[in-house]
Amino acid sequence: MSRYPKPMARLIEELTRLPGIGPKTAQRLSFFLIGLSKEEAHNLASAIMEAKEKITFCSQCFQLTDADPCAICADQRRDRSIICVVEEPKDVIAIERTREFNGLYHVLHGAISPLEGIGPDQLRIPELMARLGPQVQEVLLATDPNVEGEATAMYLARVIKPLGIRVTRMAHGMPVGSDLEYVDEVTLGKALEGRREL
Amino acid sequence: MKMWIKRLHLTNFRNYNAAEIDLHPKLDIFVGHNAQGKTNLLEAMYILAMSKSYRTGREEELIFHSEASALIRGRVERNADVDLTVAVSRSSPKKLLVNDKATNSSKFVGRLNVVLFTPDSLQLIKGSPGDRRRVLDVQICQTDAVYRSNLLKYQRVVRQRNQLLKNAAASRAALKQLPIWNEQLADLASRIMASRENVVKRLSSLAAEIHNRLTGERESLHIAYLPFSKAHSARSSHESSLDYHRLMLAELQNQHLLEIQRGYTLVGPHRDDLLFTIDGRDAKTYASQGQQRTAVLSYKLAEMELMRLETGEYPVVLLDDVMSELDRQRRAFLVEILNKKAQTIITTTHLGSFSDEILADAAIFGIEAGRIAERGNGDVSALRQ
Repeated sequence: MSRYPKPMARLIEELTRLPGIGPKTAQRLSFFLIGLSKEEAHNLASAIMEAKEKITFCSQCFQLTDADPCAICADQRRDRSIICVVEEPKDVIAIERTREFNGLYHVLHGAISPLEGIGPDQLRIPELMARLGPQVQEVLLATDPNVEGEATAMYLARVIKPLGIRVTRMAHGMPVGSDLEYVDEVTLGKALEGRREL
Repeated sequence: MKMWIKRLHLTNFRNYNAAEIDLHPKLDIFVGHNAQGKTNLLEAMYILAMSKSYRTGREEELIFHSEASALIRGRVERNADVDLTVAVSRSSPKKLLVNDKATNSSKFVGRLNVVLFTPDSLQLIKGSPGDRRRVLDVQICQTDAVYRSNLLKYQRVVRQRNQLLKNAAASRAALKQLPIWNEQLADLASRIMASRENVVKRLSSLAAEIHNRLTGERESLHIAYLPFSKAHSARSSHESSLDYHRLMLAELQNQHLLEIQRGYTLVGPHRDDLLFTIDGRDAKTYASQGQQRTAVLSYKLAEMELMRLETGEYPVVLLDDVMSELDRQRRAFLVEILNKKAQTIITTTHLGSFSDEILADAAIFGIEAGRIAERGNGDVSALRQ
């Protein structure tokens, strides 16, 4: 049986730990990396280290940032009366791309899931509650539309509503620009349920 | 109109290294000794319909010996041809493709509809409530993507909620989170229950009519949907989804302490059942083996009829080793299916009990150790021995 030299084996092993990378892909990637020039390899390694050292969580919204508070929390032009709650940092990026939302965010870093041992206290929920001062008038719940995301939204609605703050939930709907007949039944059913008056 | 499987292509699936067969639109018979791979062919077709096997939850079992992956491809004729592919691999998640485009299971299931009948189908009456729910769910999921999505979500909510109830034994604080799961549980449960009630009602009337015919009008079959709370089923038959929602909320309250004590979810359609009665008597307890078998035949034919009503096309009928000895009723059953012109796929150890008339309009394949050979008419008489 052929074996890789130790440094190569170690590289493969480290790569295998990345999400979505199996042993075969790890081998392929490691051959690619070995083939890089010294400078290219150094650039990649230092990019990883720099990101690791400089990226932290914003102390207010817990989005990834290289400055605290993050650019969104620090921006005085943004509407401080509304906070949009999401599960993951990438969700903030997705909503920002729409340019439709001008409030602040709060990243929970997950969703409530007893099966994974995640309850409200394992998420950034206490920190969210602490942010709900008098200037906050609305909390928009944009957790994922799956079972765990719904449960998390339900939990937040139950603890935030009694504070007299408006709680809203992202709508389910039709994908824009698609023909009705090509939308799957589940999405179409949800859109029907959530229909609104014109 | 009907859908049918035109071609099946297997690579490293179970005991098939490489196999490709062109099927007959009406009747296909796989004949061979036991343990040669006949059932594997039906399993492959079932997987094309449901995206997963009915025989195993461990999908590595589907892969030939030490190969890395298995591939099942089928060409299904409906309005237009559809190519369905399921790829199972040891190292990566299962892939589902429709016309060679990757898709998810909710868009994959429903492209091909099947009715499966195996020696185990008798469990529909003799088996546990779980056996009955499974058969019902497999049927509804094939024609109702919304039901399937609700069912998958519901099962996830039950698992999450069970964990919470289990945690409650150690720390009562966990119970504070119960209400956030109850709302979803009740909402999904009431949708599932309303669908089941509706489907069973239609199935029952179709099955009653068929059963009447199969037994020469001597027996009357009735199938009732039994929601998890038996008390409820005694009430009037006009229950809408809204009532089930109310029932769920009431039962969640009634069973609250018991659920905490047991540490799992006691309330909801994961505890539903079906009740088969023949001439008003519980078929599980009072019917003979022969009566039970006929009731299952009637149920399967009703399933087929209902799928046609839902989709406008007859499903493909998969019969695993249930036609080897054709008694009068099973012969009537087979003739009934063939008259509907649904594509029928049969496995059998010998052709002895099939009439020449049936065999004349069929494709016959000999199966031996993972090899498939189409037989001409000359071979058929040899296979009949």
